[in-house]
Amino acid sequence: MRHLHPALWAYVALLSLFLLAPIIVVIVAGFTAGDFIMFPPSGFSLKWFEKVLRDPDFIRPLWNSLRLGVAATLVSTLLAVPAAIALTRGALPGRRAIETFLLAPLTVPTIILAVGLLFFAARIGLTSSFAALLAGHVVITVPYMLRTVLGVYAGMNREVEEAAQVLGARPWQVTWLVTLPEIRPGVIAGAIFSFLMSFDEVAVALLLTNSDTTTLPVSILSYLVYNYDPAVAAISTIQIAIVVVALVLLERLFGVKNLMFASR
Amino acid sequence: MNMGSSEGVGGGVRNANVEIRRLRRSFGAVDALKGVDLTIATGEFVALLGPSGCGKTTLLRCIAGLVTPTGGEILIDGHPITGVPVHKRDLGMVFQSYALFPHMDVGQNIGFGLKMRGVRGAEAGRRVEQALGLVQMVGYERRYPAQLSGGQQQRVALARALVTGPKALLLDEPFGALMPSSGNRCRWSCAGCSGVSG
Repeated sequence: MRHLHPALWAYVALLSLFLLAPIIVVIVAGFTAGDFIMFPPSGFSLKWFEKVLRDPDFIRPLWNSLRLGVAATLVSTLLAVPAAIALTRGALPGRRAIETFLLAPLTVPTIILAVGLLFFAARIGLTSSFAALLAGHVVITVPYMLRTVLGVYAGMNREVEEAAQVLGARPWQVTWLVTLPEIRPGVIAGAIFSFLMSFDEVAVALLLTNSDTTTLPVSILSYLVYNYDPAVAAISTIQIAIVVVALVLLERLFGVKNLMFASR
Repeated sequence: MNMGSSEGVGGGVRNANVEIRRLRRSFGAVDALKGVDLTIATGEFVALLGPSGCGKTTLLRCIAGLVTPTGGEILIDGHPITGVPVHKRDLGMVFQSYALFPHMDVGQNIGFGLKMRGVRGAEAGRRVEQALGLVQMVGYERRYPAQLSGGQQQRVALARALVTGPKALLLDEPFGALMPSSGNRCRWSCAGCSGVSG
């Protein structure tokens, strides 16, 4: 921060503007008193927030999205953390292939994934169920969790686990008392990514939801097809606020201290 | 010469002899250990010297159980330990990287082995305190490893290895980071151990 070169300063300011401008426009547009999305807005009012918060067509998808995001994050944590530990530790046969396979969803466009999942879900009679949607989101979120945990675990001094063994820790105690606390920053970072990926995922949700299970991004999308009023800006602002609050909370709860440990 | 007390309170080493017979270990085509024979009498302190890569660490890790020998036998007090899992061998080891638990403070680090043995409460506190005294680190209980110098970390690692009263103490590259002033006391302490260092 001190002695930042003026050119670098200008570059940072421009880049920040580029990244933040669309978000700022949406947030500001949500507070308009007018009936159309415009920037700058005409007057200030909370009426669009009021409309959105009273509209079950937005509130139900919002809850669906929150539930889905939390569930997908929990399930991918339970799947990916043990997988990352097994992949890092042992002489697992074919571990490279397994790792590549588990990370593969990152390279597949989600719409392709969604179409495949739709056929499969239809075959076993699970279309439009929360379970099928959750399964789809877990496929998408597992690679993020796996990637971050693998990264942190690879950077850890493995002699620490051996020291615990020599000191009398049984294998499960080594994992529980040493490995898991050590890789926690990776798990938390993975959880943040997983939740965000699920929370604004469109393609899978578009194909696998019905009017009861629809998620917020899908309902925003379908609302936009027929309407162009500031309600969309208002609900988007609420979505952004949820994400920001979640990030700040996680940072406060786990962030600073653990990032310190992770850098060791 | 021998300061290890038989019940191993707060930093002693229980007396045990270590016998190594024709110990072999290969990593692929490389033979790290080619039929090592070594007998360490009760209370004896043995230093292994040699260029890096000659197998000192491998020998220590075989004794600790972290590396499985390709052949040969290791006996402690006459009992073969080759099939005994690491956590049941009851040895103390100081790693070259010290391997302190970064997420635990000094007190928790030293108390870890006691916790694994079911020693808790006041008794655990007393023994941790005693071990801290032995390495002259009293007052550092609440510090985290990252807040200590290399020499301090090593002394904590030594206290952690000694506090459970292990049968033998294994030190990998032990005196690299000890400061001369603190070294005298520690060196004297270790001289009494039945131990192997490489």
